[in-house]
Amino acid sequence: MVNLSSPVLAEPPARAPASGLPEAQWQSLPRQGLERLDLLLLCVEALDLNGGETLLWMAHQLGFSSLFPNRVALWKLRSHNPLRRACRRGAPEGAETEALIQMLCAMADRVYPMVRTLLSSREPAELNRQHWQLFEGRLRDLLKERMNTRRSSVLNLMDPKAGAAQRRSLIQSLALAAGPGGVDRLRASLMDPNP
Amino acid sequence: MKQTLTYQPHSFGAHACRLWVEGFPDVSSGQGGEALGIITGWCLDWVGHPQLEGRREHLQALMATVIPYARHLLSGVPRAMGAENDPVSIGPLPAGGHQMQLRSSQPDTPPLEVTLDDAELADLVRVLDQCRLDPRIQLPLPVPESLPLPARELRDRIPLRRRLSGPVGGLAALALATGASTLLPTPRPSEGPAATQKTSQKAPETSPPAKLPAPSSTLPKPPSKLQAPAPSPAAATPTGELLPEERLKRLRTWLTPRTPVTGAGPAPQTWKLAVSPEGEVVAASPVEGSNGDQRSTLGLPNGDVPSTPKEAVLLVRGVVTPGGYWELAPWDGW
Repeated sequence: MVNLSSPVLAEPPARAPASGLPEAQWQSLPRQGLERLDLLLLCVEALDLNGGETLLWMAHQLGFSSLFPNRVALWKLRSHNPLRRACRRGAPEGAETEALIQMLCAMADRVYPMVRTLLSSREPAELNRQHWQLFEGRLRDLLKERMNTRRSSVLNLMDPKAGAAQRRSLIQSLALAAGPGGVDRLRASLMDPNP
Repeated sequence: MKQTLTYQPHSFGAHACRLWVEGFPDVSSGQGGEALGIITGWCLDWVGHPQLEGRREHLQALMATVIPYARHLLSGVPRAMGAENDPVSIGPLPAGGHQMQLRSSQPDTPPLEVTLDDAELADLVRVLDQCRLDPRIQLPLPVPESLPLPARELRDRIPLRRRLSGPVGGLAALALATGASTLLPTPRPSEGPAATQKTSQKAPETSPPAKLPAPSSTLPKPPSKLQAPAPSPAAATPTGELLPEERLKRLRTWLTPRTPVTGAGPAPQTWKLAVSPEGEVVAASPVEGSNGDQRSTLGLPNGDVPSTPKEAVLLVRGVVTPGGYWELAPWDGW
């Protein structure tokens, strides 16, 4: 059984997750992709109490120290999310978003046991409910702290009932984006056009 | 020497899913050590599900079905993958979860159905990813490239009500605008020209024109009813005088039978025509392209237009085209 309050620390990956896309083809993300990427990182932070520091540590491990030398640089990049309380205009460069995607996949790999626990239907129902309550509580706190709570999409995500499906979808995305093959999958899904 | 590679979803704790791949290095290609160039078999061991075994083709079919399915799930578009005759097919269940069907190549063997929850599917995707990206496996295990989905596939992600709200709102706005426009009173066709004529009649009161002197009794005789029908109320001023448009129309009728239709047509020329209130030409002066010698050919009267025409006379510029047709327009000076 995995205790959400004490995240399991996995060994850091020996190298960056495999990415089949050459550097020349790195592209910046559309608006919805940026929103989703930041929300997925927020979910990782909700799962890992020390997520902010771990993200920075992961950036160093993956060789992105020049892009993210400190927390401020990371915060500035994530502030391109239009749902943020204080968002920045413009779009981040392709190299920055690619780095963020690789960091997210590595982080999802790290918190995979917790993600799996949340998604599993074989866990006892009561325990599963408690895990979800814990995760949702932390996510709600992070959303209140960092996001523009006047936005309907943020309000919807914070809503205990209406946002349940979206929160589960985010956790499922983390599960499918984790691992060496998740980078290409996640990048492609974040590049989806706006229907 | 036979090799066995093991893949598991994560590197610690208990595992609900484990994949073994067995094979040999392809010595003919110079492979050695831990490399795997020939896959002789594989085995997928799941907690709570029957153990799966197969050859390389089955592993490849499993990857080619499950990895694209996961790609679609990541975009929020669960779509069934694999046809009925394929060795592997997978699709979403309405109540949640995923149904995978495995069809054996052995005859008379019913397909094996496996129901997976989200966690088990994620485990399967992870072990398959590890296997296909393992540098020790040196034979191709191709899967479709992960690409952004086309917009038409993402339409289902938005609820039908939200998708229809835009077009329905647009149509409703269009219907409202159309309905509102029908409530507006439409201007009668005669109101515009009549108002113009009234204005033009009122204008002389303040500034008497030099062109239109007082009417005299030397006006031509009104035409018979057959030649010029009585003006309709819409085409006449309150005083019974024809509007300029109506006069031009009658003038055209008056000129048409007088224009020669056989032989060489008249040369292009311009005339200044004085038109009576009944639409007949009472005087004509050549302006350009003629010295007046074709007056009779064109059926025009002999008198020139006086420098000070009578009040009721409408001055018209008439141009004879090379084809022998008259082009008429109100006289607006030289």
